[in-house]
Amino acid sequence: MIPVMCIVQEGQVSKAAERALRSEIGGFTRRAFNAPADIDWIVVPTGSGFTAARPSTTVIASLHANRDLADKERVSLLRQLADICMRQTGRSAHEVVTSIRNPS
Amino acid sequence: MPLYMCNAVSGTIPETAKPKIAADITDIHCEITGAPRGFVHAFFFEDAPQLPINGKSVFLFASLRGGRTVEQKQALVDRIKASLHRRAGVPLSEIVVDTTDVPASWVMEGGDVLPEPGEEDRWLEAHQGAIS
Repeated sequence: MIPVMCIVQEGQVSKAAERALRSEIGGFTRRAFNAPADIDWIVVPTGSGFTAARPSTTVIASLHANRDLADKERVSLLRQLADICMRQTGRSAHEVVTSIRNPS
Repeated sequence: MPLYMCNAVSGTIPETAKPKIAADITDIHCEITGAPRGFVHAFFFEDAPQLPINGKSVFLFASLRGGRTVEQKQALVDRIKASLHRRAGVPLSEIVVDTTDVPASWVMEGGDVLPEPGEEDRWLEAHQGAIS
């Protein structure tokens, strides 16, 4: 399993979009790491998320890879993951943060 | 990045204090590290199982771009604890702050990998107007 943390702001992602995002992330981890995603879906309550000290619209998707990644591959995977988040949430590139960490 | 995730026992941090603490965190982080304000995310939760409070009142977990010095990180911890104490009235002994370093090259924002600390100018130039 690939542990994935998805953080969204309350009211930002519909249930349908959440299902689609979960599904796409699952497909992504199977393609990239040959393993299903174990998604921890975290909703930041209204009035509790801030970016640059202003109300946040940021979506964060962070996962731990099951192998060490070279820079070039990591960048490609980060971009793929960001594209999935943007497509399913409708947020812009500057509202999406992705992180892929090596195994700890 | 940085991402500050603050988990508190329900009712510990008043709603009115959250924007003030978030502003403090943003100011403190930028003053100490020189990072752009637009990079700073501060999210508040209550009794979130992902961030164990372990018998205290507040646990704040900070994911920072790697490269910060021990002194910088200690200053961040001390000043943010002081903000939580001042804004929400939480005793300092009830606040736990932990940090972890994440290499900048492991994080993407705005469609690009984040710059290393101190190398933000070119990145900001390429993202002019989108990040404050």
